[in-house]
Amino acid sequence: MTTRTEFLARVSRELGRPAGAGSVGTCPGVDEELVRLTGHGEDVAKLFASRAAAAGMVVHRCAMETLGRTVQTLLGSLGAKGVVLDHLDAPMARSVADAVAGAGVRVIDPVTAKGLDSQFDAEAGITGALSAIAETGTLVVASDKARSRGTFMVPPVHVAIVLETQIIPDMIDLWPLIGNRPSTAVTLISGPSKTADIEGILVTGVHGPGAVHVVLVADAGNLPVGGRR
Amino acid sequence: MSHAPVHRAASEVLSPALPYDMRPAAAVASRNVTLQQFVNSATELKDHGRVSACRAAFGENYGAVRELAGSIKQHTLDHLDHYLERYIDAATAAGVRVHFAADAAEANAICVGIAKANNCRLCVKSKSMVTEETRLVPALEAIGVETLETDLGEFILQLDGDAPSHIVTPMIHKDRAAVARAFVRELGARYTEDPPTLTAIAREHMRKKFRKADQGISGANFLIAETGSLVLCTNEGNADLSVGVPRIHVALVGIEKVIPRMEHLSVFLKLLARSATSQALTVYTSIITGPRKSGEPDGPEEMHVILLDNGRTEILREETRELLRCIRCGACLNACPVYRKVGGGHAYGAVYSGPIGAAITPLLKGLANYPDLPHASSLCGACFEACPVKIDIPKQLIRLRAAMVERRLAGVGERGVMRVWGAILKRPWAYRVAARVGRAVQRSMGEGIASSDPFADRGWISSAPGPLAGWTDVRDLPTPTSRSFREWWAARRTEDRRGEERS
Amino acid sequence: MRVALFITCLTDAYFPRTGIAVVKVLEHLGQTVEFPAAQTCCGQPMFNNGFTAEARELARRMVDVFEPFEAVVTPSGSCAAMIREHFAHLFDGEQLMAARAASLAARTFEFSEFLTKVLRVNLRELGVHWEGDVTAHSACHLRGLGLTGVSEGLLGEIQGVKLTPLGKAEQCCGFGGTFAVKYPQISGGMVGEKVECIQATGCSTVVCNEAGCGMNLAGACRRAGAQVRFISLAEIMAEGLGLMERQEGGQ
Repeated sequence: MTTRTEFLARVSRELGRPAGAGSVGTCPGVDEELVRLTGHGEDVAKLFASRAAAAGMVVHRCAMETLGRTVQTLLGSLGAKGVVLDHLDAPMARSVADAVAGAGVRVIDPVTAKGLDSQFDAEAGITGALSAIAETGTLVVASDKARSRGTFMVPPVHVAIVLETQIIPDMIDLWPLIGNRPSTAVTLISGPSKTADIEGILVTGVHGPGAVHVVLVADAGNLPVGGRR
Repeated sequence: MSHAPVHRAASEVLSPALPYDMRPAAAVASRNVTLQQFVNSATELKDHGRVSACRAAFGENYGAVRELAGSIKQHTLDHLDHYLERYIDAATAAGVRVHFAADAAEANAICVGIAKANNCRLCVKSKSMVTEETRLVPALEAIGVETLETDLGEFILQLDGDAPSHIVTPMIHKDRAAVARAFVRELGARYTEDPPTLTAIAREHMRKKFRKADQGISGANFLIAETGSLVLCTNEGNADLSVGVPRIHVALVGIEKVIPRMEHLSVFLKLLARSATSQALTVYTSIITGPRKSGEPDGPEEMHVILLDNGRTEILREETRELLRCIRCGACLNACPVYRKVGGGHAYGAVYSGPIGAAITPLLKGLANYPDLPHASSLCGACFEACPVKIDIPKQLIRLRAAMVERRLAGVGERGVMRVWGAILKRPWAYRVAARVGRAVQRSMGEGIASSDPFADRGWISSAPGPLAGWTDVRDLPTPTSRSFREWWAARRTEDRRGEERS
Repeated sequence: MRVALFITCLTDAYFPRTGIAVVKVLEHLGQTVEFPAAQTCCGQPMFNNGFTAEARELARRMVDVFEPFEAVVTPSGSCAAMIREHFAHLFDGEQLMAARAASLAARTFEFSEFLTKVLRVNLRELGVHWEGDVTAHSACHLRGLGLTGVSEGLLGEIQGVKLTPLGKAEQCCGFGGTFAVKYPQISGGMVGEKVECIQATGCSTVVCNEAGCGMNLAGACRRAGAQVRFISLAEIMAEGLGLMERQEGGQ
């Protein structure tokens, strides 16, 4: 069996470095001038909505006050009987829970469900988001103690609740949010599951959800209802 | 639409008899018009898509972004021992069990050991070139672990016992009728050639397997030294299900996949999908840092990463190190006219095909075993231009050719010709004599002269002997004109001098 | 400027008219053209096939022969690339030779490059007039030298030239030196596709500035029965400036 020491010594030897040589010089950084494709000055909510739609996701824009109604209507239109509902942050948690109850769907709580098996029978999974990237119309979801790895992946429909304030312009802006101690899984989602393996013809919903709905909530509910775009 | 069966067993394609002779496979492919059209249209579409996606995103900066990506990878490789140490420490701290495999056999043995220790019966696997390289699936199946390829393309290939022919789009050589036949035969499905219906059949079949699987296997697109994270990019989402649902996650990863910091992903992710499939990002990019932590509702209980050498440290030597920058986007395959003409990846007789395969296969598997690969290239440079991390593949192919000459692996005939030719070219008088003799011989064989201008009156040889037969097999060979440029120049100088004398 | 012409082996023997045209055009543009008779080959065939030692000796000769000149102009992108991209590296460990090779590389230009980058000519202003429908082949080495589209741009400046773009312009014609002889099936497939693209343009004249590509394309067109004539940019310019008699027909 090859040990760590033997394995790494071989690498050092072929590099012509003494084993355990610590000095590495400086790795080139990410030159924002070159790599940033979306700046801070842009209307990130509008850009995110258009790029997410271009990536094949369905975007529903609403105010915090109309979040519940929007989710309830959506679940009704999906005809969902069972949904996996992640633990959402306040203030969305209450209105979404009410909406789900109002739609008369069975709720699977992934935290108490212990394991993913029951999620295979659900029609939809509802998650929040860690962030969303305007440039590519990407949702970023994290999995940890309160959030499952299955909710956005196992049921055939994914509903993500995203606050406009969570949107960042570019992927470059994501890494500071994740930091040096990332959640067990951080997943960037840019559209419904896709394949083009058969003759290059695009088909959605091969393994992951075939439909992704983004409910994009205008920031904090301190504005009068209807006072939003 | 259907093409002649070109079906060979996966093992025969990926591990052919050595030394491997590429020519018969290339000849067969060159006669298979449908296969060529398939590969041609698919690769041209991807190549044009890549160019427009990269131009649209980066504009004038595209070259500089490639340069940056290449330099980050090169820096990491220059200090790979250090970054691997950091990765191992960080991953271990995150709860990953890191294993070390010097070669394919050791990697498979570790993976088999993990399956045995956990009584695994059903394994779901996401697409990974490294597992093709070690032939992991047969090793697992040999101990009775049912192992399912979950990438749609790979799944279809597995049903057919076929091998991938492209790094990114593995069944570029197959059409929908082949898929329909495989599904009828192996899954008992009704015959349909409708891609959405075929996809749905596969989905239903595999969802049952995902639900029951106890082991998940993946490769990795990147490892992050700073955080111990593993990054997976797919469009189907099969990797997320493969590594998120079962109890055990095993990742088999080549040592060249490490990058220093999370933020470097900005550079590589922005290039990877654009170069591979002209998407801004793959649909799913998952950054996984360890197994399920205490108190988390789901995710695997154990996560194992097997770091694989298997010849990579050989490539790590300075002169070939740049080859390990490769992020397996497949752009060089899509850009390569040779890849198109040989009907895709199978003709390369190895797991890695196309230009990058031609450069690394001889290094991984022995130059003497793959003498054609460095030479079956017109050195046109399309691969270099397409590469998002700026690997100078033509230069590396020339280097391999030089290594063949050094190790006397070049043909005796070729060595003789080059030595004699080189000796002639060093001496202008010998060059002039040889050019005259060559011209006389060729002109005596030529016909069809269509001009009376001594500087344009070339004839044509339709069947040349010896080494030039290869030329005239497929095209006519022009002869030299009856007078050369040199003679024109000399005559002109003489005239000038006469003129000067007269005046 | 005192310019040395590096004719290259293939142009010397197979396309001498291109060399003559280069001389006439450069002289017309006020350059003093010299042809160092001691020149032979840049060593590319040896280098590309891995015969590095042989290539190094030829490179050494090239440096000796061309060193005295202000600029070296060659009608071949591929031989220019050999000098520019590989010569200096051939002398890794020989500091002085490497410096001399690098200096030569900096002064070596492909013909269309010399016209645009050094002489900065505009063919419209120069009054080049040449009537005809043409398509143009772009050699891969020009892409490597960053000269994609330069020759086509110059053609566009010639009064009377109607340029039809060639399909799959970025794809190699399949010449590749010994590759064409060693792998005829692959090379033949590549050039066959080019012939189809040429025929699809409906043009009977193809502008090609690389002798190797020209031999390959012309040979494949002839084999396919395509009645096409090959001409270089230099020849079109020389004819269009009245420096050479216009030549019709033939391949």
